[in-house]
Amino acid sequence: MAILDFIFSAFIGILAGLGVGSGGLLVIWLTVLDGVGQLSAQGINLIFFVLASASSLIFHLKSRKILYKTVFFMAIAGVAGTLIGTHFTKFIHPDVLRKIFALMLIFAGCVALIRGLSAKKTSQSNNKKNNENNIEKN
Amino acid sequence: MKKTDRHLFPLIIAAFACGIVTGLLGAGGGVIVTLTFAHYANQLFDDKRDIFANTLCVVLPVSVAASVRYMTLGYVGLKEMLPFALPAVIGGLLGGFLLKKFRAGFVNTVFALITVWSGVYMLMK
Repeated sequence: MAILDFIFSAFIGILAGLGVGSGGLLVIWLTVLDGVGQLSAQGINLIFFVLASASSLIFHLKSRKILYKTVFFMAIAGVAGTLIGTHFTKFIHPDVLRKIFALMLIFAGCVALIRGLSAKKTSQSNNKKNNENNIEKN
Repeated sequence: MKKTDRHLFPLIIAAFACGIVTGLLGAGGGVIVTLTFAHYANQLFDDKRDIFANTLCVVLPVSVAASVRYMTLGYVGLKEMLPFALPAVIGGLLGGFLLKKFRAGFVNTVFALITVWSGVYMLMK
């Protein structure tokens, strides 16, 4: 089981490093297969994400355009939100939290699918326009 | 007024919501930030891959704050985290390195399908 944990975690780390996020997949692995409690699994997932994304950050900072001022203010707001969110974990039953988490996963996955399909459609449409322009020129 | 200043307020609201979700569920807050950046992408970025990088820069400190809170609340300790630390770092480095090599669309689709399936499975369990 330790080897499987390592392999699966490394795979999730790659996804986090790519910037698509781990999507809480580690939480599912830990709760369903390793029998870890929901809040513990969430905590492990958070620390895991910090380590994985911090490792990949240098690649992103080198090659991407970062809106430093915007991100700074967003981070402050995000941390403030975190204090509220973590406060509510004391009052919500772990089983209820688990269901909310599952709904969040479905929502996040559907959003990613729709955006992916929409981007593909836009790209195909642009390719068609370019081809038509080339034919006209010729 | 700069383009980024105009969009600052909705982006800050999105980040605040991201913090609440991340604090409550330990994951998923990044989706809100990504969606909001994507909404303003044409005004803010030349390359849409910048969305992921900027999201990471927001979600990382949020996750650090949430991790610290979870540890102080006693939900998780460093001992439980240790087996996952090395694969996290290795995977993260690999992912950052592979960013240029993979088509973002392919990765996004695979991830989306896994996430939806996982959510349904967890809901039914």
